[in-house]
Amino acid sequence: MSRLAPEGAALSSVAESEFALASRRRRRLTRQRLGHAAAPYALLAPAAVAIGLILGYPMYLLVRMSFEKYGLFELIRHQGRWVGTANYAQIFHDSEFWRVLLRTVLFTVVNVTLTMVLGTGIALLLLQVSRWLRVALTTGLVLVWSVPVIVAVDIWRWMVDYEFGVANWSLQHLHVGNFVRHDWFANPWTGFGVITALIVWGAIPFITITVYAALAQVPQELLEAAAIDGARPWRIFREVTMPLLMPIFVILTSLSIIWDFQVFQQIWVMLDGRPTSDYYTMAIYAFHQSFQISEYGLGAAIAVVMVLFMFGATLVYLRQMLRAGEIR
Amino acid sequence: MTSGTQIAPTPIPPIAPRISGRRRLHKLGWNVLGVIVLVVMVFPVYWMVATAFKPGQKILSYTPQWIPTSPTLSNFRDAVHQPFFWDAVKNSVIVVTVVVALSVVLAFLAALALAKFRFYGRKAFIVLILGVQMVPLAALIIPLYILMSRLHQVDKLTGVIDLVVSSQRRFSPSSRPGMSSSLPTCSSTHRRSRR
Repeated sequence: MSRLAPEGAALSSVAESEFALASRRRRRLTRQRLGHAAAPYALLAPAAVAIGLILGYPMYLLVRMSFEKYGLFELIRHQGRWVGTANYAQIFHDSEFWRVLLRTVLFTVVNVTLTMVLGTGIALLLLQVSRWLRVALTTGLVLVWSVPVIVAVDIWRWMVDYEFGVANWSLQHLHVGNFVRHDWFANPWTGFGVITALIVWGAIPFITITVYAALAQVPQELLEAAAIDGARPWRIFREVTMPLLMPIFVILTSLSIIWDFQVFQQIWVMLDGRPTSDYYTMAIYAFHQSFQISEYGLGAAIAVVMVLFMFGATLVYLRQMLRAGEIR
Repeated sequence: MTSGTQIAPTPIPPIAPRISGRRRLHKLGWNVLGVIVLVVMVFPVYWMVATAFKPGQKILSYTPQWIPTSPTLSNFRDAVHQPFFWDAVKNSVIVVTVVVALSVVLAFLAALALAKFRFYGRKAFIVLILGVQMVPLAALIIPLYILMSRLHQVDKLTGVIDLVVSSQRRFSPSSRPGMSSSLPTCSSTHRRSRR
């Protein structure tokens, strides 16, 4: 609205000065203004309709199902039985749920931190290296970016294979320890280590390329001014670059939180579709409740809790992001 | 010598060679680090490609073969002659074409509205886009299945899901950088133009 204001103000002052033509001009003016006002809604409409149809309605079904007893029998009948908050009560009294939630939060924190720190680090590194290396690194990152998730999981699974994996052989020959036929997934900590490495590896290109693009927008004068004032590089980064990149960091961090909190495929495929309960994260737990023991209502309730939890976790970021967007 | 002439305009020439030497060392250090990062990042992709060209017994050897010495195309030949390989390719091409066409149009229009207009409900829509991504797809499978079976559209399920997910993931970040990058530049140009 504010963007259109100058134009509108100019026109209205003209309309005031020439009173005779006022009514006709005003009519045209309002039509024009209406057109301007309607334009963004018209542009948004297709996307909004798509989201509403393909996500909005299923979301409604999901929330409704979470208040229903919905098993195999109800699935066939296409009709659940209303049970109120029983599903939620059952989840909250299940110690497994709290273990899974804690594990998922820990997993998300570790993954997002590693992704953001390494991704930003590589973006800063790109500014320092020679041109040929910058081109090579960017190409490499895009290459990694273009690997589909399922393929990436297969590659990593193959690299950490207990018998023929290149990881075990290398660690053995670097004398790190005894890695002959070492099964990384026997222990959930090392298993999650591999999964974290895979996820961070796959997420770095997006973060790095976005941050690098943003770094290129930082006005050179500001950096030079800070350097002339005697600021050390780390201080320049913290007090000039960081604040300018804050909106980007906020959006990247909240997107990473959202993606990592609901990780499913990486764990599922890495463990051959049979993860033990030590490997349950929220998404896998919800899937297990829905499809493996056919309690769809219960699974839906877990999914709803998950969405609410993520919303709560990113609320701070959302608010900050909106405020940052409003400065303009 | 050449570096000396390069930074000739600096106010204090005597220190110049020392600075340039240190700077070159710095550059070398950064480049070494950069090469390490490159190798680590690209290795999994390289390993996939290398494995694809190795004959079976070389793949299943206890000592990894770092470079395929006797490259073969037999793995590719086998893959292409797998049953349903070309059906899968055909399905992928159809889904990709439809999804890309639709999501580019939808995302472009929506991004245009968000970037170029200030209107009532703009914030709400941005929150909605971010909110949409919080919905775990695994949890939506059952309701989506019910919806699609009612519409007799079960076959197109994956395409439709991908459409929404990919379009949402693309346009929320892409509309933001432009927004924030205009923050510093915009205010400075405004100030300049006013003077």
